[in-house]
Amino acid sequence: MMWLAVFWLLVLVVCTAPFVPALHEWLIGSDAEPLVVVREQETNIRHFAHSFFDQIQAFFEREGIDTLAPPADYEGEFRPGQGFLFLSPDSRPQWSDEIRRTRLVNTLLIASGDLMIEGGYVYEQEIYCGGQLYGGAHSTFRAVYAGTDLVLGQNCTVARWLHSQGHVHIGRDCTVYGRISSTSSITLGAGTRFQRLNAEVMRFASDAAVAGGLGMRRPKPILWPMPDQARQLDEHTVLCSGDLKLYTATRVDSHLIAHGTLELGTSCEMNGNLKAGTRLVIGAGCVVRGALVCPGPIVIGPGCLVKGPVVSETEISIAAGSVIGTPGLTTTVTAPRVRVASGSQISGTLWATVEGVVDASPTRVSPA
Amino acid sequence: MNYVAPDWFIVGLKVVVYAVLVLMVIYTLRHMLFTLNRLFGRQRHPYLDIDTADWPQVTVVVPAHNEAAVIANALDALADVDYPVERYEVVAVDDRSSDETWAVMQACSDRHPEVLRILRRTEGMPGKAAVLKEVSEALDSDILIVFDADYVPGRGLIKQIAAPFFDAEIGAVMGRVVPHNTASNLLTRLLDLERAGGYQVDQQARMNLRLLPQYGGSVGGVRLSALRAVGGWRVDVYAEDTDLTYRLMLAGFKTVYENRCECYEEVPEVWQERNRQIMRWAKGHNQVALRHLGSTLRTSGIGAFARLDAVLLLGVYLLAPLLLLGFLCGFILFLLGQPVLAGSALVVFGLVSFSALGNYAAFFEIAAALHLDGSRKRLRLLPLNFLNFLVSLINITRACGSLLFDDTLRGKQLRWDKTARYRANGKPP
Repeated sequence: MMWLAVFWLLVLVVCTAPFVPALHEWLIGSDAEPLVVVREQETNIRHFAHSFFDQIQAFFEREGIDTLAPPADYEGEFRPGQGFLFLSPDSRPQWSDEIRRTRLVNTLLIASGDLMIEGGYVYEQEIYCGGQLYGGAHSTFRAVYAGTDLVLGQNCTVARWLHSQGHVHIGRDCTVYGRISSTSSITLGAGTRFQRLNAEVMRFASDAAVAGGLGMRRPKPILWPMPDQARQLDEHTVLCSGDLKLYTATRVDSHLIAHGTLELGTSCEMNGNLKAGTRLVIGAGCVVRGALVCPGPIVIGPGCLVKGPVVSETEISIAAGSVIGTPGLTTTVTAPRVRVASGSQISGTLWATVEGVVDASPTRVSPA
Repeated sequence: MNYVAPDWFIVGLKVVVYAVLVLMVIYTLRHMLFTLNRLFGRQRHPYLDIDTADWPQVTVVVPAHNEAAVIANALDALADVDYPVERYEVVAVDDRSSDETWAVMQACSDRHPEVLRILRRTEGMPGKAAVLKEVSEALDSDILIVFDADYVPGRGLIKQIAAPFFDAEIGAVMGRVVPHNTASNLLTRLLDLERAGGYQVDQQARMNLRLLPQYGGSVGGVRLSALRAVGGWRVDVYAEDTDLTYRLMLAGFKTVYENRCECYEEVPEVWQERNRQIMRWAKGHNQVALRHLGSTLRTSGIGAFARLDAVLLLGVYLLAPLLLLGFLCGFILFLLGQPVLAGSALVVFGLVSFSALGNYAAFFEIAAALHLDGSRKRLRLLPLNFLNFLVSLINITRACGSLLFDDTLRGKQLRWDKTARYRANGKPP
């Protein structure tokens, strides 16, 4: 009898136990606030750079530094536990023997004018430069802000962010993770690996003007006759249930969807968005006045011009001489992996969520 | 004296019990799959990163009926969004309000003349669907985005909703709804759990698995050309949004869910209001099920797995009466002295899948959603969600009965229920 009572008591405890914390949470309400969902700065690529700039301006004000008549070099504490080294224009940091031995700088660098910093060091704290900044080769930076142009030598690494109010030139074989932005242009050297870039103009491995997409001579395109397997989804959209291949110099004046592979011959003119279900291949010299979207890979041939966003859930390859977006009409290129060939140009945001790489060799369009 | 029931009766009861059991197991497995996918699967947010582009022309429509308490917050927020002003307009429609809604809208219009257009309806069919139908027929825009008057969008939300439309196959986009009046009482806290499970896990898993996320009529957009191609908004259904989701799917368009398009809404604070809301949803959803079940089964435009899930999605609001029927049959079998292992199993399976009837968010979906949201302490409330389950079970069953007897057999006219507002002052965070 007693065991039965114990059994039922246990059953009662097991059944009611979950209600104790439930009632406590209901009455106390320790986690009753609405979920915080507004992420205004999440898509602002320059957010960290702007926040850092604001902190530096507050620092100048606090220290009474006149940037037009700056004081001589001095050291101090930027915030508790974080030291800084202030550098007057054209002065170069003089490192201690310890730093020279370890090649490790754990001081925030604040330069009111131009700054040239020696290569081969690891800069663990942010660097602010009011003027032009030259970072020597083989350096590692946490984050860099430059008031005008910014040049990094070869084999440099940027861990978090980099922003310039002028041009950014990043040398060969660098690794620039995080957010890289410029108010005018970015040039990345061959072999450089990147994640998120944003500028009016981004060039890859070459400063030479991109002749391809904009200046190429093309045959006059012929309007595409809709094939039997295609159907009109709405007044602007045509759907093709399988693979679709367009011949050279075809013109399409609507959005075009293929559930399989969509392949454009050379010099096609597309006046709408393109979507492919498995693979999207844009032939050489094509002009697309719309977006390219594909869950599979997107291959953009040489000398193409694409005006809309390019979105893949796997990878994007952009061949030499292609132009994506224009300085006046920026756009977005995004995929887990992006391979950009030397001599191409992108305007807007380029976001390789896993890794992007600047390829010095021309991109080959592999068969579907 | 022992009553011996005829064999056909016993067999009939057993068939019903086992059929309900199988259905419950199918739905439970479905929700388990969604939860596991959300926790361990590959997450799809393909359009999230589009931050600069030649944006399409967008029109935001805000239907309002007696929304004086909340609409100013919504319109001010909508006027302040980050979107090219030459490609953007907000159309607020006062649908014969008897409170100060029109005056509030006029004041907002004076503050934001560059983007805000206000209209007043005094005749025609009342209701949100009728407003949307009328406005969308007169619009010259690419994308129509719908917000309820109690919603307060963040600055980046319009671009996030517009971005998927660069994909030519997308007909509609749905964002995530987050309650802001969670702290009000037990009901709002339970609805917060339900919304978390429904959006954070259920909708996003369907997006990940390339199934059919549901367009929910607010915090979402529709491509106008697609809308016109499928015949525009229908005014003869309670759930015009679900109806549109299926019509778009059957026409070959896709609906996508954007989990990061989050927007605050106000959830009901009294049970009567909640009962009316869930009954309206259940009625509307079942109407859509009756209309589109056959064509969904027959369509060849989507894969077999997606089609199966689309059919299961149509059936979620039929589960409540079926579960009660299964319980009843099991109980009768028990009274008749029949071996009713299935009856006890029914209890187990019923319990496992019970929350599927709320807003298709089972227990484990809610737990996973709270884990993903990082709000773990509110997980403690989960046992109390049983209350929400029971209320939903009863009201959904009532709604099914009403749809059958009032609307279908007696031909009762569709009546638009207005959801009450509780915001006294100030706006959500």
